Amino acid sequence: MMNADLLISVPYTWVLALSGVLLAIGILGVLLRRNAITIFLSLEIMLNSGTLAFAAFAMHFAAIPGMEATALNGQMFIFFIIAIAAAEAAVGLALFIALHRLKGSIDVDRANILRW
Amino acid sequence: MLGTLWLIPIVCLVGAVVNLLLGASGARKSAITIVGVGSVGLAAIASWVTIWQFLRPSTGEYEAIVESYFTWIRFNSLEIGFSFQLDPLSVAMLAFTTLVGFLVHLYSVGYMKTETDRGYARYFAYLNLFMFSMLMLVLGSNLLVLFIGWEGVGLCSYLLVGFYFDKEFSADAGNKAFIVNRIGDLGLLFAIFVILNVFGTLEFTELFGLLNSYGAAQQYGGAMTVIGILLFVAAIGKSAQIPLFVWHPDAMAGPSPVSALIHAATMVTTGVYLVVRCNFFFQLSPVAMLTVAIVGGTTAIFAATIALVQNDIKKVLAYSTISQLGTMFLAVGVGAYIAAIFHVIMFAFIQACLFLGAGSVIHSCSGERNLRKMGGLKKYLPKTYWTFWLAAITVAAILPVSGFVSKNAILTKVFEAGVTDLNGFGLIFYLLWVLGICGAALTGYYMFRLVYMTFEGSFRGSEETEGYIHEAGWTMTFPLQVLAFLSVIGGLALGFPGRLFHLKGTSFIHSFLGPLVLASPGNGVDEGHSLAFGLEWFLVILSVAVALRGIQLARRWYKKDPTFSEPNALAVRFPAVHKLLFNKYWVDEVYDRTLIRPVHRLAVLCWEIIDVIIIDTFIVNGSAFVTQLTGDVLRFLQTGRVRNYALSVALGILAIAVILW
Repeated sequence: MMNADLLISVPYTWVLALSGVLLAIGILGVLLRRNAITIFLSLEIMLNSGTLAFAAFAMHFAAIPGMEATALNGQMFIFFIIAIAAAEAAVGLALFIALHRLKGSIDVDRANILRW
Repeated sequence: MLGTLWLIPIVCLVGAVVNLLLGASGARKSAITIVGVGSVGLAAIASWVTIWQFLRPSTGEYEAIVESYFTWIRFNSLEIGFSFQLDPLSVAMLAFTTLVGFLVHLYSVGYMKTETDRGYARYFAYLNLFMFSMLMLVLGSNLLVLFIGWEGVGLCSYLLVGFYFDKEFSADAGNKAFIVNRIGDLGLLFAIFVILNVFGTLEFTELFGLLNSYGAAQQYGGAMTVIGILLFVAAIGKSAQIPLFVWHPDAMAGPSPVSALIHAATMVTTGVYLVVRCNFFFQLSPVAMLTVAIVGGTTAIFAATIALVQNDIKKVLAYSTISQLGTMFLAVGVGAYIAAIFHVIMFAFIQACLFLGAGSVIHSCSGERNLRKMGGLKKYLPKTYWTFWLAAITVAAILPVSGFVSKNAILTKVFEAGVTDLNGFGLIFYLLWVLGICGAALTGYYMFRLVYMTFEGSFRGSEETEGYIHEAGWTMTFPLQVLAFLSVIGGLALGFPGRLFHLKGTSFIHSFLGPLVLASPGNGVDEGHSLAFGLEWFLVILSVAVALRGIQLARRWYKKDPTFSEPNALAVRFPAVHKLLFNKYWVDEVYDRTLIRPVHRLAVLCWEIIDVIIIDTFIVNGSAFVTQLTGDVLRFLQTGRVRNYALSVALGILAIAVILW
């Protein structure tokens, strides 16, 4: 059982800040790493930062009388994002296998046949 | 016969289409003949029935019938209908157009029989198409429908002049006819624009009504002159007047029946028709009228002098045609519209007869056109000879025949314009009258020079050719006989000059066409003669006397003397004059130097500078070069690394975020 008082005692702005930090980590991961799996993990982190932001706002609205429905909307979206992330994982992993068959590695810098 | 006018031109159009299809499917000549001649025959019958119906209510007033078929153009308040009009003027034009058209079609059956089946079909398709266009032109109740016909006859003229397109001069002559006519067509187009702008309608009856009202001259004064001059530019092009006549002699490259129908009887007279149809503009503009009179009068004498020394049988006739057309414009210019239309009708019969006769001569001489290689054809071609002789005597305007009636009516009116000091230009009209009398003498001379050189004396061509000479079949001689008969009798029947014999009342054609001419303060309607009785007879005798003198001279020089020693001696004595006339005043050469070559140079300049350098090099290849250069530089952005693209996406999002903040 979750203690409601404890939950509310963490201000939602903190949660939001954590979401921002996660997003930054994800972006940096995508931009700086060459291993496809790592990039993929970074993408997942960015998605999770999104879900965290939704959760933060849901928490915020749940505390305001009359906005409970809006809060529920935010929580709904979290499930959507998780579903999309799962689908994306399937597609992404399939891509990596295809890339590996083609190039013998999953170093994304080697998949550069579209350069000038 | 209300609501059936459209049948007349449509029959010809159907004939043209069917003939094209027959030609493409390789039908034989008999089928093409039935369609080609039959369709025009049907149109002729339909039009004569229509005319008969029109003439029947002899209450004295002929009601103009306007048949509206559909609205052609509707734009804001402007509405132009597709409609035909049957009034005395279109009746007059319709009558001789279909008759001469039919006879020429019949004649063509014999004349073109040596063509291939395809060529034969093509010929009749074009000729039917011409009849269609011509009938549209004559029947149209507004300037825009007339314009369809106007362009249509121009197109057919081009197609038929260039009928023997495998010969270069023939194709060139077709082009020349088409291009020179374009200048005139532009005049008509501009006239239409101005009329629409000023009056808001193109219907002849409405325009007549607008201008017939009191004070129209003051209200529209300046516009009248502009419209008149523009319409006359159109007429100059179509009717081969100075300065646009140069296409007409070259157009003789077409088959002779085509010359007879298009370049003598019908199409070239449409300029006169246009001016008479739009007489209300000219009646209200003395300047436009004077322009018409001067151009017509000078063309008449100018072309007549060239005809004096030409040796090509059709060229002589071509210049004679131009000269006669000039006479018609002279008539229009002094307000003698009815006399002009009368001359148009007479002239259609006469000139068609002459051209068909010339065609018969050329046909029998295996294509020979040079008069100096003819002679003595009287005994081989008796029917051609007497029809040609009759037509020549009518062109020369000798007393009892119709050419005299119509031409004399014109010359009398010109003299009268001098006497009454029309619009204050009396002196100029006297001068034009003198030119007209000189023209009469020249006409007598060159027509009979032609007759004597062709038919009298002994044959001057090769003996081999002489063996072939024979009269053509009935399809060729019958039209000649009908036309010769009409040339002689037609004028007397239509426009008997009763005034000369103290008869009361005006002639049929004057009372018939009279209401069409707008009466205006300066220019009385055609009927009112103001000359003394004796003076009028004096003018008649004078013009006949000079014509007879011309014929006599031709007889002495070309009939009695088979070596033509006197004219040859004259040519040697006055080499400059002879050269000037023989080379047609070098008009073609002058145009070549002053217009064609500069335009050609301009075209080359445009091609080499504007086209090759500016368009090709700078615009087309330049834009390709810039695109390529841009690509060469920008392609380095395509690193092929996902991370770089991802970075740009991230930076883009950051930029959007900053902007939205």
